[in-house]
Amino acid sequence: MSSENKVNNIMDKKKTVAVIGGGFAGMTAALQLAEQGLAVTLVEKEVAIGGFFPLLDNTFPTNSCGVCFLSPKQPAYCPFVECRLHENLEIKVGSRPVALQGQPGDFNLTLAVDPQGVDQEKCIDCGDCVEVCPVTVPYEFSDGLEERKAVYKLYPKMVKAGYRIDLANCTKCGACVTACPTQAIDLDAVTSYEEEITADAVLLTPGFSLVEGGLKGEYGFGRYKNVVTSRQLERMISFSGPSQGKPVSPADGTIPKKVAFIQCVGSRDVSCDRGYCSSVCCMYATKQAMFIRERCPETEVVIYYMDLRGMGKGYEKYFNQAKDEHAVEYRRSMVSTVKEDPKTRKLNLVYDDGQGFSEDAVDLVVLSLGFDAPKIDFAADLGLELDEYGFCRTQEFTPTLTSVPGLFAAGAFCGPKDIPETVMEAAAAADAVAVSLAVSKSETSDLETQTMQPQIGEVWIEEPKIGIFLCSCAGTMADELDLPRLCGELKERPYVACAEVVDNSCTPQGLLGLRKFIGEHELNRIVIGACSVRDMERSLDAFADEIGFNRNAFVVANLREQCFFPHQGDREVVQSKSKALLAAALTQVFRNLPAPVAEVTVEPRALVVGGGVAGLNASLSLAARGYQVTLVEKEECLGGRLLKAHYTLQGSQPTQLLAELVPAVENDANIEILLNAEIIEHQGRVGNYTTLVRSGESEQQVKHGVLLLATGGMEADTDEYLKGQDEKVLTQSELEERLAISPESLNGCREVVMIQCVGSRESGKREYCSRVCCTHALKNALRLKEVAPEIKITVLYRDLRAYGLFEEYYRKARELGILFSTYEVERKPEAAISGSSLSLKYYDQVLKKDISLNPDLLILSTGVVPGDFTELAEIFSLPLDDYGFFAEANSKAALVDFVGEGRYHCGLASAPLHIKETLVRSRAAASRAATVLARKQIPADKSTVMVSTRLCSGCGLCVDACPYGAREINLSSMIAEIHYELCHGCGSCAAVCPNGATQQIGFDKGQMMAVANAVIR
Amino acid sequence: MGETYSYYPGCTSHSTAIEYIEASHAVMDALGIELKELPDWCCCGAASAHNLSSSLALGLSAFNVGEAHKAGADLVIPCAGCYGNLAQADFVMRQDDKERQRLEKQLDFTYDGEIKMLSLVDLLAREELRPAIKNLVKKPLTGLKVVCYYGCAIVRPGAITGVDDTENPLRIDTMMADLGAEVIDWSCKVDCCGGDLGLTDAKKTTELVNKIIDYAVAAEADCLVTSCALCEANVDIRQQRLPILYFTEMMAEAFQIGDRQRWWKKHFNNPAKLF
Repeated sequence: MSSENKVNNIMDKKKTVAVIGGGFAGMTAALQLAEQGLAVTLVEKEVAIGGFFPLLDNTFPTNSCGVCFLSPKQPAYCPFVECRLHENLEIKVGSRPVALQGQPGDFNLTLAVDPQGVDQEKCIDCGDCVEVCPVTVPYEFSDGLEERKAVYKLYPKMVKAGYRIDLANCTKCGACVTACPTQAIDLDAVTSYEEEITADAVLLTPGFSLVEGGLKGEYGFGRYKNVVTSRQLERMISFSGPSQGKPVSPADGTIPKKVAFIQCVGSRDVSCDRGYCSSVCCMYATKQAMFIRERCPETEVVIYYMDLRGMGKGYEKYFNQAKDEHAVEYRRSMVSTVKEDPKTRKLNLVYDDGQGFSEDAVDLVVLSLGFDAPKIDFAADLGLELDEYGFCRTQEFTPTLTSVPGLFAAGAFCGPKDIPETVMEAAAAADAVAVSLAVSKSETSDLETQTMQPQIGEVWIEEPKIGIFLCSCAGTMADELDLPRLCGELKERPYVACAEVVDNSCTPQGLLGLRKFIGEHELNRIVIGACSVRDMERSLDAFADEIGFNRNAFVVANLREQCFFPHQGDREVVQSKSKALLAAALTQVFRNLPAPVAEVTVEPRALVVGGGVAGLNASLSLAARGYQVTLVEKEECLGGRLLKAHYTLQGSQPTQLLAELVPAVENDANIEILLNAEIIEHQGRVGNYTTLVRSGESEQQVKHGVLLLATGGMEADTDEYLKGQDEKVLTQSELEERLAISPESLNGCREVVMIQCVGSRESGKREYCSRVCCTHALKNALRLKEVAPEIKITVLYRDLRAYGLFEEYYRKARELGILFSTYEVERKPEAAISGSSLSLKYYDQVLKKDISLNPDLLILSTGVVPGDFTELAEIFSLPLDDYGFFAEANSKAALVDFVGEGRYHCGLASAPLHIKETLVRSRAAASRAATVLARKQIPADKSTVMVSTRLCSGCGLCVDACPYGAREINLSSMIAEIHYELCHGCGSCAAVCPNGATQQIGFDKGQMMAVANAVIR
Repeated sequence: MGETYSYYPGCTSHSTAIEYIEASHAVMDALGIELKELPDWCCCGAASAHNLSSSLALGLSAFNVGEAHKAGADLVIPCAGCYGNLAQADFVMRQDDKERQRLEKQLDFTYDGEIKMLSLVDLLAREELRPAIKNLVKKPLTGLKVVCYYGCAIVRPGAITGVDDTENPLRIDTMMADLGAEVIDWSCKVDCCGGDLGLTDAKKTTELVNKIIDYAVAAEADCLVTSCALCEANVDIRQQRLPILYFTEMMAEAFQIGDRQRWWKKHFNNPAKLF
């Protein structure tokens, strides 16, 4: 197999990484490492990669799939597809890691490969085996809500194949063996075997599991039919699920009139040994609630919660949307038990909302399940440090390093987190791995030149000689379709030189079989009748490059998904529609234009704007790979906000971090530092930008391939609660400074009150949650208790967002007697001065009365705001979000990306973040930037547009319409040009062009009309 | 069977729960289980001692655990409250070496952890007894719909009682099904009957009891089966809708043994009409 040899050759030269766990973290990290030129093995214990992601039809806060939007290119990649296609990446499914030995640069990983019964290489995803299987068992994928056969797919929406046989339930009747058209099933392969792989570094991304629904017996899961888990509900609201997107009561199949969500099931609960917050449940319950309200407007939804935890920039908006637009009700309470009315199967929730016990009758109860740490068999052998719950212990300032050298970790294994945070941590871990292996540009750049060298063959100017190849799909097509007859008919068409039946055209080997015919008939255009183009695109493009054809000389007609599947059994329709689809493809390939081959040579330098912790960290990472970095800081010294941080909640020393980062940057030969500097001008495109920087008196032009904006943020100011009028009123940062530098100034301080969410989470002020303030208050309150144990501290809050493993500190604070009391934004606390005494009045919601205090200090948690980036955003033509932070390309999967490659942002310039999270995001940004710098050239994509200079009037509508900045008016010719390397082929410009001057290649107007005609005829 | 156990009667066995004790003895006689009453047992501390002093409460129960050690056989405790107290003392001595040493010295015995504290349910709901119990059934309780009510003391906390599913215990359910009764799952198996509040806050107790009975009636149960004397008293006295029976009374009825007609009269809601 030549393609395998090719991969092996590359691997010989490259550093190798084993990524263990193929969920979102593993896929993300593996893909980024592969793109940076490392040879990656992605190990997954299940029969397919994907982890929890396939369960989610939609994700918060976009309520869309989130990873595949608009175009197939980065940053909008779909990891399922991309991981499978990248040639630097080998996926080993059905493989459990059982032992790991060795040291950095020389690891031996032993995998136990379990028999799956189905040969994934041979399986063609026809589903015949499932049809004949007589065994039915509950489907794990939906917690038993659905049923499956003994031969089944791990999840319904798998990209390709992924069947396995559940040998424990299989009766070995042999029906599937007989039914399988490709002999892919072997019921006798029952023994596991071991396989060893070597790696220079190992990344652990084993993810998490959900707690069992029955963990909290008082809620009756497994006992009362109408109590379901969040996992089951997720299946219900999925369109591929058993109830096609609607919630139903399992007892009688009706749409429930009232649904209750119980939060924190298996979270924040020491009674079941899970003291941590699972971080994502408030958000996913909100998402599920919104979908229920949207699809069943008659259904009431109530969420029973303790603290509403959606900490992050866009999440507050999401809650407000749920409350205001979808009328989802949130009830702060603790549910003690669920009881079932034995006649109606209705459920009674008994809960305490601070006013005593109440009862609500509902039709469906959803348990919002928390996270469990994964089990790692070899953790103990290696001495891998885990916390008391089994999550991987990492240091705050090195969040992706484990206690074992050479072993890295990311994702929920390091503590519960949502997808965005997981993606960030995975990218940061990929960066840490790459840097540790000192992957520099000299080692990585040969990959692109090997695979991506499209040339225009001479073939385009010749008279078309079209070859048609119909894939038999391992014989399955032949059953329903008379392929030879089709060939005979198509041969009669004009310009068709040959029509043949071939096999396995989706594989590189299958394509090689076409060579003979191409030579024999001197073909210059090819039509393939097979399956989805997504399945064969990569190998087809590679094949085109190899034989010197333009990639647009190939057109694929999807006979399988668009004809064979929907019309199965109706031979006549299959035959005639196949013919029509092929006629359309013939017309398309006949009229296709060649794909452009513009390329940009990548300038191996990064421009990093901002010398705070984010900028410093990203610069070091890129410099360590051997890239040049120009670091621009507007102040006279490096450090940014880190200069004002004194200690963290987890006890790390920011001062020490600063003392490490700054000299490291200053002494790095690859990093040029420009202080007192500002950005004047910026132009260019991915791989090749020019930026004019003024530093002090001098100006210089920086040529760079990528841009990183790490321009920081700051603690917000306020004039509420007498701030600025009384010196007893401080912000959290001001208190931190006093605690760190002059703790003696707090002598005699007996009573302190802290107010949370000052100016945050308020319409008309700052709508977003600043994420860090709750933990900032906890850290200062705990430090105060350390300095003066007798001090009385009251924290007035709205929702205490001590997410993830921070919950531990919240518990500790309560144990130390720190008083936490909620307030409503409609009824804020009031501060007043009389004489020298400060008084604070608040309404206690439990005691139901006003409480007056005379604090010696009033501490305000004022939140985080970005710097003023208006001017900068204009110079760079980059978007800001509603709150003035730099806008991410996608709030789920691309948090450090702008739309389009080449320019990234991180740190407080992106969103409110803890230091640890800033460190993660800055490395994630570096990792993303490195995937660009690792290439020598950036080729244009074949999905793009063309401009007729004759028709273009230079109106500029296309420039405004383009979301990627790929269109520009050439001011001398007044023609709208295309920057092919930026174009994603979305077609927005073609749609707005009033003259039809811009046409999408492969979809131009004349071509589409002709194709339509061909189909009709 | 020929099994011999030490026996801790507790105070209710001589008073409010006499029917429970008589039925239990009849059943154990039938099963060939011999009980030897501890010669010098004392009050377990009930619900009052731990309100006064935790060391008094622990001391009283530990004394009885010590007596059991002296007698040298596993201890059967029919009263759920007594069982809870003694099992807790046993748990403390098992877990806390310092406390154990202090109590051993004070109470003059050697704790070896070999002597188990058993509730009557622990004793009679053992898997290995099921064939013998089924054999003894003369008149199956066919057609009788029962809900089983466990209360708190023989179930929680799981770490002390050893009960796996403290929210949905099943041992009495299984036993009743073995006797031929139709066992109905319901939501109040481990709900609070009011406990000692029966003496101080009758209104609250009545409220709690009525909720339990509401669910039992909604489940269309003919009677409620319990293993705790305090539960029985609270739930029986404060309502007129449902007969309450001890699980050993149900066994005796199925076995057709003992002075059952006399026991039925001890209940506020006479269960005679059920049989």
